[in-house]
Amino acid sequence: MLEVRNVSKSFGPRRVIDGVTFGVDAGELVALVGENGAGKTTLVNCIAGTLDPDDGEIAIDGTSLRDFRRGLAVVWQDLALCDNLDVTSNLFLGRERGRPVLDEGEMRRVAGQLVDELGIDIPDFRMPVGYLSGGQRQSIAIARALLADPRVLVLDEPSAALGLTETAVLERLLRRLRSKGVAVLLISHRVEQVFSLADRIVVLRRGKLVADVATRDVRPEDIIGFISGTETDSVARKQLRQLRSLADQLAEVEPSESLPLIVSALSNSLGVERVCVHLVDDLTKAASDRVLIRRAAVGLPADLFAVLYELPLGRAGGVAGEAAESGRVATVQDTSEDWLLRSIPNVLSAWAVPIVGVHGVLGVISSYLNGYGMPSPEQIELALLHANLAAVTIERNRLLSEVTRRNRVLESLRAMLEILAGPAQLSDGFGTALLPLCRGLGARQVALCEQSIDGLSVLARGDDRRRTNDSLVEKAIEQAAEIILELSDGQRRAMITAPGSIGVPVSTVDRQLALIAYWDDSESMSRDALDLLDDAARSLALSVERGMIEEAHNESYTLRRSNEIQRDFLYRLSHELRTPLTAIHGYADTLRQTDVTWDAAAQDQFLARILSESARMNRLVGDLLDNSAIENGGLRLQQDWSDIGPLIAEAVSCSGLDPSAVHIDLPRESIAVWADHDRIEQVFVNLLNNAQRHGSTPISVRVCPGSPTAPQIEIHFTDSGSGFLPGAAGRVFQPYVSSGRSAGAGLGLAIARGIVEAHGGSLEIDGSVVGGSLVVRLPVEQIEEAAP
Amino acid sequence: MSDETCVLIIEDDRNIVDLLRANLTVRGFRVVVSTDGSDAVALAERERPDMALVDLTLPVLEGFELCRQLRAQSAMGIIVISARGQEGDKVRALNLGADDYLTKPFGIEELLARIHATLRRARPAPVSGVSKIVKFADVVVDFEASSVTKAGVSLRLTATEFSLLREFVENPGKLLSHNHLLRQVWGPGYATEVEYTRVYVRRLRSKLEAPGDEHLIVTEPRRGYRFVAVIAPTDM
Repeated sequence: MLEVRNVSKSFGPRRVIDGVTFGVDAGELVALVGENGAGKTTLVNCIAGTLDPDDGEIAIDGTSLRDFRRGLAVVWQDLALCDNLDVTSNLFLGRERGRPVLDEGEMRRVAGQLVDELGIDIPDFRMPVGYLSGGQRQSIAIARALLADPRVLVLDEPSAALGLTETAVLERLLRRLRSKGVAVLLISHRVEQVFSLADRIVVLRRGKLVADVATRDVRPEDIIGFISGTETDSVARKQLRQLRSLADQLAEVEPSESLPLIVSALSNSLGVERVCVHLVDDLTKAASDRVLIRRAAVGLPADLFAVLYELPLGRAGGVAGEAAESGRVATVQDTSEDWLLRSIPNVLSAWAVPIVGVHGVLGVISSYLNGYGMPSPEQIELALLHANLAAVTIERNRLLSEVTRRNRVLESLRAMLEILAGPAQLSDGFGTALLPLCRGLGARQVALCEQSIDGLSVLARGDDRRRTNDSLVEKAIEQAAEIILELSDGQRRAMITAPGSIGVPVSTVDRQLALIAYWDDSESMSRDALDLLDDAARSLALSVERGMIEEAHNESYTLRRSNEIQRDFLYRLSHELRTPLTAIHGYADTLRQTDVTWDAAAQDQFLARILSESARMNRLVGDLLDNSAIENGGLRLQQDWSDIGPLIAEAVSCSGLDPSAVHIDLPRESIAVWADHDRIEQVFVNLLNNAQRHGSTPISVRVCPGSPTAPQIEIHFTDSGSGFLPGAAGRVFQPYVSSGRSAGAGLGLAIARGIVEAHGGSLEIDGSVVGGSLVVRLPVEQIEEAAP
Repeated sequence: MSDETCVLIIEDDRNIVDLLRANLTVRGFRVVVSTDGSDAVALAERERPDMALVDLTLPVLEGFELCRQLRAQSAMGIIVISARGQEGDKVRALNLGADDYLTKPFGIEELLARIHATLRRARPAPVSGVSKIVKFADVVVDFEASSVTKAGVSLRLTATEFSLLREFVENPGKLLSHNHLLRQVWGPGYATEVEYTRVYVRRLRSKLEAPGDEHLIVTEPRRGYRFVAVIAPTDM
């Protein structure tokens, strides 16, 4: 069913898999065994498709996996479960996308059926898998793999983390699978375990297939012999045991302790005292710039210790430098030939083996001896084994830090969500939210773009370098946004729009939005960036909609508030209009009465009242028209030179105030301003009436001439009342706001201010004076806006 | 009109004051005026007017408060004259003791009619048909002296309240519709002023019925009221 034909794979100079051929039939359980570093994991990666073999072919039922990977499922050693999700969710993890939404009941039913079929004992499907035992977790990972109904199941080190009873549970599950006709390939380093389980055992050793045997034909010791490539004598067994315990220990220690552990284990196995590990400082640097930095050592005398701290690659770096450069074993039989080592006493010969990882030489293990001669092939082999262990450990640590990086991305996504959910204003919030997203992705810029009738615009950006004026970046982002937004609604999806940019639609009810990420270097786009952006877009869509709702809410509040003011104004206005109307109606009605006869004097008086009340209504309507003209900016002025003194006197007589109640304080010389005479008089009347209504007489009107530097005059209207309430400054000039129950539609001051401002002046409360005081400032001559 | 009927005008708009004054004096009323409300209570104390015309929007003392103070002081007729035509204002003024409510602008005939109706209630025609003194529960009503006592304590009823009580006592056990009560107590022009009966029946009940007492006046929803007290025979 599964056929692996002549598959080879090299990493740099190292051939990790060398012409491997084997097969697994339906209903057969084949174990793939080998030492750490024998090539098992690489082979699994080739089968799973995460690595492409350099040579050879892998097929299921004759169909090459190069083209078609369905029918194969892999359960990785780390299981890839989500500990905080429940059993059902984990079973369907990764299957939500691209498939019609399953309801929870349906999911649970399918899960239950599958788990029953496999005989897995899960007490509660709603339990987060983090609470389950290792065996149960393993079973769930297998069950998930089986959901796709594969014909071939690959299990990578399934029992590594299991106890004895749990291993038994796993074995029962595997037997059941085999009976269902699934071809199972089990990768393990535990010979005794696979021996009881497998139909056949395939042994990899240093990349080569060294045995493919039926379990019933061999004994476990034979397999161990195949694995280590040595006679199964006691020394080899001892070495092997040591290696295995080292491997086990490496799996448990902190990354920083793994190299010292390897060094001391090697020193132990070889019986040599001075062993040292160097690592290449930075693999991203050009080869000529790389140096070797010592990471761990045992038994080095002080002078050697100092010399070996940092080495160049190549001959200048001694044996270590040579091995690191060539990727091969390097030896120095006599250190007097070696310029680096010749000065160190008691170091007579040396050798070094490279540590080769997926991306080439990672470092070197070197040993310094106090005798002449070549190391034995067994010693070199043992050293290479340890170097492989070191390589695996380093790769593992790199993967761990990769996981940490991914966690950081997730963390930044969470930070973004928190900002979006917070109380910050959304327009600010988007920018602040996009920055952590941008950093988490390692992108240059992340932008939220909108397509509206005005065209494409960028609503917010998160730029890691806080530099947003790079036209290249902007152009790339715009292009990406156009590509996404030009698709029809149904077609819109997250996609790589160009090397270095990813576009994701943000689906909101009635806005056309896209989230775009741009990388300066398309190499640094991570594989999961697309998914992360897609998730971010969903969160953004929610918060955009939240923002729209808030905006609508605010608008409706403002509208309601302005409606309230209008209603209040209309109520007061109707009262204002009714009073003169009552008088007019009443006097007319009085004249009409038939039961009494009015003399001529009374009739005259009534008619005069009717006329004066009509005039009052007319003024009120005039005020309304003025106010609406001011509000609409349509106030017309007929300006001329007007003398302030006579203007004030006219206003006093017009206001109906007793002239003796108004003290006018004018400068000696007459002052003329360029103003609309009637309008300014209207201002003064309004101010006088306001002073009379709210304060009390006498009222003082004081005129201050301006200076040549400030060509404006000030006219102070001060009454004898208690003055304005604190905080009234903003309110009293608003139209429709009248203080309390006093008469008037509340337009007087608003109109006065409107007229003064139309003249280029100002009307303000003068807080420096006891009593109510308003100050009018008028420019002597209005400065033309279009003055040359 | 016997004697000079005195009307107190409380109104801040000079034109309206003059209008009212001209129309009332020419018809034989004596008129006193308060232009801001502040001296209205003192004027009422001194001049003992038969009725007051009260504007609600006054510069110093609010009209509602003035109604309350005037009513606390005397049983005179009170007509509110206001530009505010809202139901809420009307009910509030009646609750505070006003007898009637006139919305600006108004016709002279209507004003005069309402003044006369209010005065008529304040000066009821001589009693006929029923005894001059009536007793029910612990209440004694002397129609001739216009006095009411409950458990021996004298009650102060306004003219309108007294007229309403008389209408009930004269028709014991009968269903009296809103329309009937409005016509009989307030006058022919009031048939639609349903709030008036609601407000006044409530006021009458609160004065005549102590907490825990049997109801003297029963509400027949949407139809009217029924006076259900048993009238005790009197020795007069």
